[in-house]
Amino acid sequence: MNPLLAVNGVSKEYTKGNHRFQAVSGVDFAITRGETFGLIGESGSGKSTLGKMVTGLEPPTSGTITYEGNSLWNGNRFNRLKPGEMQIVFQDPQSSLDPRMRVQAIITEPLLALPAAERKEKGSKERLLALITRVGLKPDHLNRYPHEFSGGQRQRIAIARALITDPSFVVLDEPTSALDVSVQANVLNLLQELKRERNLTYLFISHNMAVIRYMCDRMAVMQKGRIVEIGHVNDIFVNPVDSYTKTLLSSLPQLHEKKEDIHV
Amino acid sequence: MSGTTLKTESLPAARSAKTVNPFWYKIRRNPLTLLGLFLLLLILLLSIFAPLISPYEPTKINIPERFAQPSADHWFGTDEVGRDIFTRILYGARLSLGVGVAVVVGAGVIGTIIGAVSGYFGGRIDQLIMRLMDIILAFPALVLAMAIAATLGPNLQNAMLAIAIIKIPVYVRLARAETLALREKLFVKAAVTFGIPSWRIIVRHIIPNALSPVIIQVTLDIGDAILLVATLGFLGLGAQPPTPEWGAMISIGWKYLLDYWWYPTFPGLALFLASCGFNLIGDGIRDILDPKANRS
Repeated sequence: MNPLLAVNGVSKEYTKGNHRFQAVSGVDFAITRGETFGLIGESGSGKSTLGKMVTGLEPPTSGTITYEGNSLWNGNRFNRLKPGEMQIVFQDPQSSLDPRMRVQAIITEPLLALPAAERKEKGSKERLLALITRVGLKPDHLNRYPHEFSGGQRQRIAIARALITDPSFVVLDEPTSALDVSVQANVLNLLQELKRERNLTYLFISHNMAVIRYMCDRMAVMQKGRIVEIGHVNDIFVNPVDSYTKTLLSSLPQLHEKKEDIHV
Repeated sequence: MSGTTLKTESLPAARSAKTVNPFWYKIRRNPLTLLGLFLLLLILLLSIFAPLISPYEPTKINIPERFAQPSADHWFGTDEVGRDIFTRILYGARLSLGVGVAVVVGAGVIGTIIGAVSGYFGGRIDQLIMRLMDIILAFPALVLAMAIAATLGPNLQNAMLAIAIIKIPVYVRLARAETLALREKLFVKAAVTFGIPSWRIIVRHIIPNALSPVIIQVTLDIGDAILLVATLGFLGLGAQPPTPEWGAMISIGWKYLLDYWWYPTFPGLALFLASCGFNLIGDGIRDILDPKANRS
């Protein structure tokens, strides 16, 4: 089966004066349509840089990223294949929503990149109301400003904004890391349900093993810009090969200990 | 910001002056700002209702009554051709306020757009624009304004243009600094990933969020601009006689100071009060919008 998104030999190097920093080096992976692919690693491992390169915020230094077989980057130019096809939800909903815009303007903003006819159709009042209730907010929230909402609600607004264009592919860049634990589960469940309803494909970036296990089908473990292990989530959790993966797993004491108890 | 008003219907006990209108509450606590507001309102009302307040015409010559002392008929006396000075000050207020506001708002709008574009795109365009602004800032403001006004020809329009040009760099720098910070905000990055064109991001996100310091600077600058217009008028580079402009009035009047003290004194006083009023209000607004500069 052809992958939806393929990352081949992608590297990213930042230069500042004479100082060079290799954020991502020679990363390969592919995501098939309909799966949730997890990218895990500690901060500075390059996982968010990969997310930026996929969504057009940073050009890769070398390597190719293809979406449905078409290259996303042409040198430093981002080829936007079809507006609204790919969306991103950022980690920090405090700063990802413009404080001076009302929720309605925020959610419908991605439509501005679409052709007029499509914008009109997708921006209809019914669709907007259906979407806002689907993500768990009320229609009268549309007239409010972001600062009137809690972190979880803001992330729901960001999710609604990402879905207004009916994307096929969504990059979730630590979507729950900034939220309270009690809210995290709700947002994760919402993301799971939305994926099923809308046939979405997710690239899920996180540093939290438990979240990745709950959300993802396959995963890649990143350390210092490289992928050290890649495979199905269950395989990696049951039988980690790389020492760094084992370290990460040991950061989840409960899961790990229970398993050992059973084996012993 | 209307959006910040708290909902207090459900909490009648909390409905104090502080929550109903926090802006007005803070102004009331600062007597100097209140004074500035009072001065400004006074000048504004006097200039708006000038024809109702004064029976005289600002440019009508009446030689028999020249150099009349301040009296019940002519509150501030008359000038060398018998025009009522109080009337001329009222009409001069219209001109000064209008010109001051127009110049600074114009400079603010143009400077903000240039600064936002410069900061957003960065690179060579940014370097070019900022060096150009440095050149303007390198000259003493008044000297440059005089040079521009003198080159273009002495009239009010050119004086306004000259003052706008020397005011623009401040707004470019302010807006650029804000833009550099805003460019890194996630909501701007998000807009980039949606595929929204840069000009639209600047209009929708950058400029609205960069506006608060610009507004403070505008209120602070209006008083200064009024003073500059009068200075150019005084030097003969601004409004030309017989236009009732404060600077031009002082320019002619100072020669008569020893014999007819009222002639230059009252226009000077008007100028002082107007620029004072704007400066006090500017300071007050800065204190309100910038919590770090709060005095208490």
